[in-house]
Amino acid sequence: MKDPSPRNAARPPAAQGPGHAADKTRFLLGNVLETSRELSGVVQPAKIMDTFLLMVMGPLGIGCGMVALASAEGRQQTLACRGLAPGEVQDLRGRLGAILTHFHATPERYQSLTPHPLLASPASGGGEPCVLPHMKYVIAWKVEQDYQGLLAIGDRFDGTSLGQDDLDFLSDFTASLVSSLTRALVTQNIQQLNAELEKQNDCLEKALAEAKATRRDLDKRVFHLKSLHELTSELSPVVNIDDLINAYLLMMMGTFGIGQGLILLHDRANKTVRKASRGFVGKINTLTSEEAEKLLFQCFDVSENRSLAPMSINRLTSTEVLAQAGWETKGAKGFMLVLDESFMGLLVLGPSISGDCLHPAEIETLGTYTSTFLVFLKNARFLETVQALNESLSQRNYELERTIADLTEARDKITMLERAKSHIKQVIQGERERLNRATPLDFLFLAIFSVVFGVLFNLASPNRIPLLPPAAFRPASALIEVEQARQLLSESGAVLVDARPKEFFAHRRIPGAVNLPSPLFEIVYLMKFNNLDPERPIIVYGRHISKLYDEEVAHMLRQRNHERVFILAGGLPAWEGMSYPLEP
Amino acid sequence: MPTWLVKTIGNRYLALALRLYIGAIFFYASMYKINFPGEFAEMIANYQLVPFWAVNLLAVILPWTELLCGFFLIIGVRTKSAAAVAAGMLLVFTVAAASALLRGIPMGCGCFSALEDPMTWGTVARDLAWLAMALHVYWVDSAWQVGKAFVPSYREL
Repeated sequence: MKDPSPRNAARPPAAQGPGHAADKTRFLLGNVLETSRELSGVVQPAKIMDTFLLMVMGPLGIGCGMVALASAEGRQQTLACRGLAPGEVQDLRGRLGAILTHFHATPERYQSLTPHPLLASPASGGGEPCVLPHMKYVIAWKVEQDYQGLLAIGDRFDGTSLGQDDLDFLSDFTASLVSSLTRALVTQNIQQLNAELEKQNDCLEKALAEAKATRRDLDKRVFHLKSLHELTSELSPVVNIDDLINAYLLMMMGTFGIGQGLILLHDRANKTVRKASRGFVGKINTLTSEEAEKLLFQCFDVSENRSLAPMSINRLTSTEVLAQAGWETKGAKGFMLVLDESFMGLLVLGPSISGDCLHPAEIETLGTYTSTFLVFLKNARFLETVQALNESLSQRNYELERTIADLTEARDKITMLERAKSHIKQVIQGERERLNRATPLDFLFLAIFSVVFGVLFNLASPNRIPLLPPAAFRPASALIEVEQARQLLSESGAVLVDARPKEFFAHRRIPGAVNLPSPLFEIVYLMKFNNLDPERPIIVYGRHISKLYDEEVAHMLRQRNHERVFILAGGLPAWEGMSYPLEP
Repeated sequence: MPTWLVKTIGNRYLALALRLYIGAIFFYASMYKINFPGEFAEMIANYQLVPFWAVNLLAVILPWTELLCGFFLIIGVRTKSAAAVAAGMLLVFTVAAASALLRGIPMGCGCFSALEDPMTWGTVARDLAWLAMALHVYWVDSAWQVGKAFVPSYREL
């Protein structure tokens, strides 16, 4: 590019005729062309304006000038000055907005986009404000509808004013400037738009990256949730703690591709140890409750949080304690599980099958799974407790039922015994009352025994007597009436025999009677009747309701061959009834 | 009636003594009659109250009734019934004796043997006293009864 400074610029040829005018026009047009070329490569408006000012001032020989451009809103202002003192430049910058507003205030005058000169000198007409006192020529233009522009120049170096052709040239020049500025502004706008687009693109890329990250997070969360769902589905039907820890361990090993795993749970209350291990080398199966408790407290010492908060998981910072316990823990991660203060455990996972250690994100996921596992473990423990309580309750119910049955049986037995007691009491009471009472049975008993013993003894006794009197079974002896008896006694010399016992005989008797009681028959007969003639009649008397003495004696006499033995009819009473004498 | 007399009459040990006494009398009285039923039959017949065909039966059976009654009264078995039977027999004996005395039958009472003095009103009085004792035993006696020893008392139950 040529140096466009006014001092080095080609001067127009002097006006010396019509040919000279054509040269000048050619010269100016050449400058316009050159200026257009110069400006076409520049895209910055300030540089365009500065370049333009130099290119204008040089050919026209102008000593000072300024080009101003401002946006319609006045937010963006660009000023290019040449040949002005710094104070003047400062003054113009301060008033630039007012100057532009003034020159673009009349719409009908300045609406045209075509550059056009406004005045030759600010002081010369119209009362229009002065740009600067020595700037006589002002040209205003617009770039598109958004920018207002102003070109002000002073006189030439030599003090001569610009002619009409110079002003036309200036207008054309300005049109070139407007064109360049329009292009530059468009370019600038495009650049701004590009910048904004790049910015937007950056934002979009950032948003896209964030969206991708979010998607990855979401995918991860979905994966976690899916895995969690699978874990939940897998563990939810398991109610046994041993099955639960086995299932969980297998699932974790499968999910993270781990070849070794161990879960150890210690119930301090019941002093029980539950464990599940896969591919682990060490003393696990023979672990006692005391050893497990000691191991867990050692693990607690090396845990990250050293917390025994319920349902918490503490990662172990070191697995040396496990190695000290004799377990192969190379590359393993250990976690201390705390269900509550009485139920704690240990989760140890070895390195993945590929040999990699667990990624932090995997460890975080593992923590989530383990938290879920702890919830299931807690539920299983509750269920186990509930089952134990139910079993205890069932056992107690059974014992209670048995107790009730026993009590019922005992009550029935007691009732039965009470009834028996009452019955026995009644029987005994009845017996005692019977003992105090004379009953017909007793009388019958006495009668029967008396008869039996009496009869039996009498049969066996040497002094036995016949139960019925023999006289009752013998034919009755011949009777003789009292009168006949008296006749027989007096005429035939009959013997009168009193057969009654001697007391009765002594008490009352028929005179002349001989006492011959049957118990003393033999003696009395020998003494008194031994020599008696068997043909002599004998009259026997003596009987009453209870004894037939006469029949007995008559029978004995007949046995002694006395054939005429008679019995006094009616006996002593009949004799007495006949008023015959008695003695004593 | 004075209280002391009531208490004395109601004394169970007095009843026990009377029971043993009556029992011994009956026991003793039966011995001779059992061994000599013929003589006892004569004594029964002398009362002239029993039909002749029943005299021997009575002479064989009645002594054994006396023996059982006496035995039961002494050992305290079925004492109430034994006392009742004894009282009944004493009543019969008393009536029979009174009847014999009223009829002027010259005889001994035949209570213990056939060789006794003739019966008097003293005999009747004695029988009445024994009858009263038997009735006392019937109403009051409750002590030393063998039968009750085999049955627990209500209090023991």
